[in-house]
Amino acid sequence: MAANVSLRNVVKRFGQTIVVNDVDLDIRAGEFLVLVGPSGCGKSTTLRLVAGLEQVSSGTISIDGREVNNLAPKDRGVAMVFQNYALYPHLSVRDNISFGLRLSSMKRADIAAAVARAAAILELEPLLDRQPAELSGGQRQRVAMGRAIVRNPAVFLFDEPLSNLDAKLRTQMRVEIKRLHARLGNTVMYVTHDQLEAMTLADRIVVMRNGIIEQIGSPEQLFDSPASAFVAAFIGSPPMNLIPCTVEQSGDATSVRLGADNQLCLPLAARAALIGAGELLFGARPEDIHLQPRESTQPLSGVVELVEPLGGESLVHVRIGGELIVVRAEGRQRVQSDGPIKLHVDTGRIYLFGRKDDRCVYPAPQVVA
Amino acid sequence: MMSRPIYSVGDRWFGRVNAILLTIFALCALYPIVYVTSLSMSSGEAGSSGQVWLWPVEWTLAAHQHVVKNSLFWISYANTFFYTVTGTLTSLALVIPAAYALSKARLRGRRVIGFFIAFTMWFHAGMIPFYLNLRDLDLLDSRWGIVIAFALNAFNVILMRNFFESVSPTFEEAARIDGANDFQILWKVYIPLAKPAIATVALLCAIARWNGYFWSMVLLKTEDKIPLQVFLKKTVIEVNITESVAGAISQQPYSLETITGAIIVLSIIPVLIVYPMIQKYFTKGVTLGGIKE
Amino acid sequence: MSAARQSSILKDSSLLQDIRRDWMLYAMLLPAVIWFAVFMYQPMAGLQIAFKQYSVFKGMQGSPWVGFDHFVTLFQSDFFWRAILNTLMISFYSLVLASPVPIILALMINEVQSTGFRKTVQTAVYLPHFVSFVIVAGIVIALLSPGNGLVNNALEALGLDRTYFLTRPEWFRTIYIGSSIWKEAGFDSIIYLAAIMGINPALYESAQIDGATRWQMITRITLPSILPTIAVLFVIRLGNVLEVGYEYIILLYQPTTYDTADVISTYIYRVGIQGARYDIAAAAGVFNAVVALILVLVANKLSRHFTRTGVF
Ligand SMILES: Nc1ncnc2c1ncn2[C@@H]1O[C@H](COP(=O)(O)OP(=O)(O)OP(=O)(O)O)[C@@H](O)[C@H]1O
Ligand SMILES: [Mg+2]
Repeated sequence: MAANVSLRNVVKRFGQTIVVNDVDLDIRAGEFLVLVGPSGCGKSTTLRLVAGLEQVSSGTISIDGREVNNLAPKDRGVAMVFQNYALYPHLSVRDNISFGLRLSSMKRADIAAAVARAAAILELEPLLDRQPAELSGGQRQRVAMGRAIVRNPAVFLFDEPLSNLDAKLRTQMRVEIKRLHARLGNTVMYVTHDQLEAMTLADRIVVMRNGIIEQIGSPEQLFDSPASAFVAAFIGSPPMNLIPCTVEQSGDATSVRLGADNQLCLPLAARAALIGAGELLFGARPEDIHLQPRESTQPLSGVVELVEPLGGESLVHVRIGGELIVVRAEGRQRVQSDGPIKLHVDTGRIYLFGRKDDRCVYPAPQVVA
Repeated sequence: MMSRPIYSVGDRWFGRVNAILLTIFALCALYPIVYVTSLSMSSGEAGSSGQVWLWPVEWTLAAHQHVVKNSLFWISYANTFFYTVTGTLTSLALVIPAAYALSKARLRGRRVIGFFIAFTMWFHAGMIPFYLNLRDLDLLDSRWGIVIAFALNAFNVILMRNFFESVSPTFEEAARIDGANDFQILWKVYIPLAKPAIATVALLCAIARWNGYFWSMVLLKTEDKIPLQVFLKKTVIEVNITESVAGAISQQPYSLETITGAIIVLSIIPVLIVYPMIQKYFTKGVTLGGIKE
Repeated sequence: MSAARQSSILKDSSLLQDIRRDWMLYAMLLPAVIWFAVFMYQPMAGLQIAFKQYSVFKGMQGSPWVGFDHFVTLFQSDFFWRAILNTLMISFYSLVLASPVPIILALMINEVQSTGFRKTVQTAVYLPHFVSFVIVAGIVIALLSPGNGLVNNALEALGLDRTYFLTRPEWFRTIYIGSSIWKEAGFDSIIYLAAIMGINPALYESAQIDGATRWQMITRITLPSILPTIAVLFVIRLGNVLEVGYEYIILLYQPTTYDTADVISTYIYRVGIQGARYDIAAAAGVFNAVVALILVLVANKLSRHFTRTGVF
């Protein structure tokens, strides 16, 4: 069972502050949608609006084509997994999972069967008679998911479900959630801070900022065509290098100047987009700057400030003009700290953003559905 | 707690003196109770001639037997049980739902109602209007009057509300998504979560009920309605104040003193039985309004 | 967009909608609200009796107004002034003599290293709190009995005269405050102990490395750290100076000790409940309650000043 969810002009105010501002969002049945954004941008609020834990100030939310604005949470066919799990400490795992079913007038045998099924999916059988206090963090997390799936919801809502786990367990649970989604096929709305989680789990990612949707798209789209410097900085790790630059046009050639010493010629395609442009933000991902020359790369000169070896690769921090940029150097290339260095930028993979409005001006933004 | 530090000689002496003084204090705290107990188990002769000071002299249970035969004593004892149990349950039944509702931000007028309740801590009409009000409500000399009229106080409501406020709101939200309504959330989630706070409030209520005498004395006129403490006041205080001027009485295996002791001991027994269970709350430090995870 | 529509958008939901949605919450609150209205606020309306010539036959409403006559009567009465003075004296002596005891006790208990001994001491000193006033009074009477009480026996053994303490006004405050300390000092130490528990242990560890003695640690670390608690509780007591334990006093006092023992509340009790002069007793109650309210508000201001967190 899966349902589509749609938000139309949804606004949420707390007193005078607008927390969710005119959000339009369509989530397809069975889709895994991830909401990311900085702290306080309204991700949780959006999720709680869908859950029915908050009421919209205006706009409509529909689930499976039915407007749910005035429906109680239990009637919306949603289940939610909380960051702190919210397991009832006085109930056993079994009673935690069956809590909602026991409130409805479901038959005992049916409840037992539903609990058994959920427990089997999550491998919780040996834990059913324990109290939450006797579980590890990962186990509690699974119980929280068990409590959600036993209700067989059309829509799963996750609010940073993994953020209380350590890094290793988080990776493991991430895989488990992905498997679960593949198996159950429910619609999922998933809030996270962790861009890696967003990239690996999502069918589509929604980037939010100050209560508005900054961009929606598949992980690849967001990575390759960020609509703004904000999105560019948010997706990818380490984030895209963003440094101030000036556009210079002489004759047919368009170039950007980075500090005093460096200039980069742009492809012809950039010319149209940059007419009249002056001060911009230059963006290049650490992966797209190389220490060795390649095809269609141009050299920049800078000084190595710091090298962070990560094993298979290293992160090289280079000062160019007054700015610091990060380069991902593959393999075990030897780089001397404090030495001068030439960086080769892939001009096919650079971005330019407005200094003020932050929008992407080059490459021309794609229109995505 | 700190691990045991290594002390200098002076500090060790400090510790010893401290321990000795505390021992003396502890004994002082217990002594009066030991004294009346011994008094109650001494012979009437020993009791009225003042020979008892620590252990029973001429050991006998005659005074206790005499008290136990008194039906009024048992009636008042039973009354106290009634007032304590029904009073405490009534208090909880009123305090818990009200405190829960007051702890919810979505309650309209929450601040106003909170003030309406808290204001009674700072200003109350006083003894006479309170009494006249009960008289107008026809609650004088009424068992249920005693139970209802003293069922609530602002402090307990606020204590309980503070506890509920400290419970993570996600428990409520999770239960709501699971389909629980407010009654179910309170009954199935918050009350189990609030057990320590409820125990504290129940304890405060029960102790106040068990030990209070003033309003029962003022309001209850019929002899078979009075609680133990009023019975005690009549037999122990009023009799003693007059009798001790008049001087001692007849040749019995008990005397006024040993009877007094026996009544006190018999009435304090329930407290002594319950005390070990409740004192662990207090030796751990105050946990009033404590937060659970 | 019309103004009406605008306002409906600005408001999330109307009062009526909210009440309908959360009706259970209001239902839960209702009994308690009714209780406070009936048992706390209705008597406040009954305070008008203090300004009336109350007659049982005419009832509260029918009795004629007399303005402040009862207050004038009260302030012309020596007995009322005596009650005010006694209330203040008992409060003052309690403040000075009784309130330091729990602090000292808490400091001493905190110095105990052995958990077992500590628990034993705590168990013993908290116990009297759970003993009722009637029993405490009973024990006091027994101990002080002139014929065969322990105290008088001891006096006699020392070659002194027997004294019937409970009939002597000059002894009343000592007896009252002494037995109150016995009953409450241990239990009152809990709040100070809790404050002491909240002190960062690193403070003691670093003091120890600096070579501080235990006495120095008490005076330089523990006491200053719990000073805010002490200040707040002191201020609360100041605000409550009119609240003396009248229920206990009623058990201990006798006409012969009224000179020092009769406080405002016992005066109200005798005049009002025992003497059925409701109007004049209620006037005394109004005076008491108003002064108490002012004191509490001032005390709260003070405590806010000291600690930046009010008592309420
Ligand atoms: N009940 C509330 N009353 C008032 N303001 C609120 C309330 N709930 C949330 N807010 C505010 O709304 C904004 C968005 O909150 P929200 O919880 O949706 O952020 P978030 O994106 O989930 O952040 P985080 O990543 O830190 O969880 C915040 O500024 C927050 O302070
Ligand atoms: Mg959040």
